[in-house]
Amino acid sequence: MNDFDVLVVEDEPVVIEATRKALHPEGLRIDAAEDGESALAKLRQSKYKLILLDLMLPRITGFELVKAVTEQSPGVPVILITGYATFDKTVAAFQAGAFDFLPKPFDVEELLGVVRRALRFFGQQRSVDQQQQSAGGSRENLFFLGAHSWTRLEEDGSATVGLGETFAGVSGDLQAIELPTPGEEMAQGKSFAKLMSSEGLVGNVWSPLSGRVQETNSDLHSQLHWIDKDPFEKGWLVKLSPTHLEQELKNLTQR
Amino acid sequence: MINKISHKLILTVAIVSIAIIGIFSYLIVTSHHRALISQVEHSAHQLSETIKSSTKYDMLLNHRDRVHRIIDTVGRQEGIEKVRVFNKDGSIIYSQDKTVIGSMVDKEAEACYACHAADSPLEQLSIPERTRIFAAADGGRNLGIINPIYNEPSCWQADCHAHDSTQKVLGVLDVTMSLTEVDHQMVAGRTKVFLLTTTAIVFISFIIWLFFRRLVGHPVNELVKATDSVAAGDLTYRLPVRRNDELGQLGESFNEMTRRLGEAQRQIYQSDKLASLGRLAAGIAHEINNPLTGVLTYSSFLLKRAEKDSEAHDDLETIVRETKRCREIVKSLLDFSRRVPAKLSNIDVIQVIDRALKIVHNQLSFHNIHVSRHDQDALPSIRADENQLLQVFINLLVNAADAVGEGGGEITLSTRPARNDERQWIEIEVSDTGPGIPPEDLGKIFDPFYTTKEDRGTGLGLSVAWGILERHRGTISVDSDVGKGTTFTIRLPVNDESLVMGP
Repeated sequence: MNDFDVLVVEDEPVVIEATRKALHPEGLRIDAAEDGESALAKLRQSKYKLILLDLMLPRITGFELVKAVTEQSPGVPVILITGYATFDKTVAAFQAGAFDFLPKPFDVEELLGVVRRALRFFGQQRSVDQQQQSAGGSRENLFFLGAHSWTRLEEDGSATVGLGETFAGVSGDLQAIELPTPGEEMAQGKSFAKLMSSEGLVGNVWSPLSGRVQETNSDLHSQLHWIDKDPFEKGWLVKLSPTHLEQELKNLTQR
Repeated sequence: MINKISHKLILTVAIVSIAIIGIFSYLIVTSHHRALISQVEHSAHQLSETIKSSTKYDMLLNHRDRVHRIIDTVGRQEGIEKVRVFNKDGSIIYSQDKTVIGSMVDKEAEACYACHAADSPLEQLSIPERTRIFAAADGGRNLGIINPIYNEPSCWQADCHAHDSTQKVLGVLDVTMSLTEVDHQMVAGRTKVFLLTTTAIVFISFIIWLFFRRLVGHPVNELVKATDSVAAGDLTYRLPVRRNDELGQLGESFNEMTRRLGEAQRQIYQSDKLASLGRLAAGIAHEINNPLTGVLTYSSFLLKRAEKDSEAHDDLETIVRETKRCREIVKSLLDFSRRVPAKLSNIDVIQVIDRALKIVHNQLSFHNIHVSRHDQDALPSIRADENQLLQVFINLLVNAADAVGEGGGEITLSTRPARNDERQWIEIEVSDTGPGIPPEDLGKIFDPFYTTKEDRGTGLGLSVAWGILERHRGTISVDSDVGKGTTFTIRLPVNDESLVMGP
C-alpha cells in the first residue's frame, strides 16, 4: 500500500501541480488522478485522509463521482473544487455529502484553510454522515446545509444561521470572524462570512438560506470559542428575514 | 403600371357610361329622326293639299294646260322630286315629268298600295298611312305622299261630264319629296352626339384616373413600397401619413404594426443575445479559472515564502491582487449567467419605487437632482419578486443620476395602468435630462459589460434589469434624444397566470 494523504482528482495538470506545491510544505503527500475511473481505482488500492475532487471531469459528472467516492471511502472528507461555481452547485455539493466547496481559482490560504479543517475532522474519526454529538446543544428544528451551516426558523418569521460540524471543533485557534452588516442580502449557496484562525484563513461560510440580514451576533467577536463549544445556540452568526424559504428548505436536511 | 385596379375601374366606368350615354343618344337621335320625318310628311301633305286645292278649279273647268303649269311650277321647286296625278285606272294624267304622262303606274307598288291593299273600301286615310319612304334612284331616300281626289257634286255636274256621280275617287295626287336634306341633318346630328358621347366618356375616365391616382394609386404604391421594405427587414420604415381617410388610417395602423414588430424583434434579439452571452460567459469562466488557479496558487505560495519588505514580496503582492481581480471579473460573469429564482408575491409597484428612491436618495441629492413623480391613477398590484424589481428601479435610478451628472437636473418617474382587449399591464417610465444616448449605442446598452462609466460601473446594471423583467414576462425599452435626455419604459403584466415560482 502506497502512503499518501491527499488524492487530487483533477484533469488540469497545472491545478494538480499547484495543489501539490501548496500542500507539500504541510508535510502532506499528494497523489493525483486525472479522471473518475482512475480515482476510484486509486481509492480501492490506497487509503487517503482527504480527497480534492474537481466537479468537471471527463465522462462522469462530479456529483455522481462524489457519491461513488463517499460510498467507497466512507469517513474520508471530500472537498469539491470547480471552475464553474454557482450558488446552486454549492448547495448541490453539500447535498451530495461534500465536506466543503472550494471555487477555482483559490489561493494557498483558502486551500490550506479547508484542508486543515478536513484533516482535523478526519483525525477525529467523524464523518459528515455519522453526525456524532461532539458539540453541545440541541439540533432540533435545525435545517442543515450538509454539515457546513444550519438555519433555525424562529417564531417571529426570521431565521437564525450558524456553523455546522465542519467548523465546530476543527477550526483551530479562532482569531476573528467577518460577518455581514444588517440590511445586506444573503443568498443560499453564497458566501456570507469568513473565519480566521492563528494559522490564517479557516474558510468561507456558505449560507443555507437567502434573505436580508436583520442582526448579527455581535457578542461572538469576543466569544469565538462558542463556535466550538455551542455552535447551535450561542454560536449563531446571523439572523435574517428569509426571502425564498419554502423552496430553499427543500435543499436542506433535518436530523 | 401597377394600377390594375384603376384600369378595372376605368373600364367599368367606361362601359357603364357607354351604355347610359349610348341609350340616351340613341333615344335622342331616333326622336330627332322621327321629328324630322314628320316635319317632311307634314310639309308634303300641306303641299299636296295646296296643289289639290289650287288645281281644283282648273280641273273643273278642264283647263288641263293650267293644271300642267301649276304642277310644273311646284315640281321644279327644290326638294320636290315628283308631282303626279293618276286617274282611277292608274294612268298618269299630270306630271312635271312630261315623259311619263300616259303611262300606267303599278297599282301593287308605290302609292296605290295603301288603298288597294285588300280591296278595302276607299276611305279617308291618315297622313302616315298615305306616306311611304323608299329608295331613290340616286341612292338617297324619297318620301312619297298620296292624296286621293274624291268625287264631288261639282265634278259630275261640270260641263265636261268627265266623271259620273257613282265614282268615289276620281284620281290620286302623288307628291314625292327628297329626304336627302333630312338625312344629311340626321347624319350630322348623329355625328355630333357620337363625338359628344366619346368626349364625355374619355373625359370622365380621365378624371377618374386622375382622382384614383391621387387618392388610391399613390398611397397604395407607397404602402406596397413600405411593405416591401419591411419584408426586406427594414422595420424602421415609416409611411408618411398625410390624410385622414381609410388609406390614411391604414398607413397609421401599418406604422403602428411595424413599430410593434420592431419592438418585438428587438426584445427577441436582446433575449437571444443575453442567453448566448450567458452561455459564452459560463464557458469562458470555466476555462479561465483553471489557469487562474495555477497563477493564484503559485503566486500566493511564493508570496507566503517571500521575505517581507523585499522587492519580490511587493511584486508578488501585485500579482496576487491582480489575479484576484481577474477572479472577481470571472465571478461577475458567472453571476450574470446565473438565474436567481423569483420569489413572487402581490406587490404594490409604487411602494417598491418609494423604497428604491430612499436607497438612492443620497446619490441623487449629492448630484443636485430633482425627482418628480407622476403616478397616474391607482395601479393594480402585480405578482412579482419585490427584491428583484427593487434592483431594477435602483439600477435605472443610478443610471439616470449618472447620466444627469453633477451639474444637476431632473429625473421623472411616471406610472400608469394600461390595457388592451387581451391583457392588462402597468407602465413605469424613468426619464432623465441627461445628455441622451447616441442612436448607434442604443442597441448595445442592454448588453452585459457595456458601460460608459469606465471604472465606476460593471456594465451589468441594465442587462440584469433586462433579465429580471424578462423573467417577469415584462419588457424594458428605451427612447433617447441626444441633448434632451433618455426615457426607459418598463411594462409589467397584471394577472399573468403563466408566472410561476422558480427559476
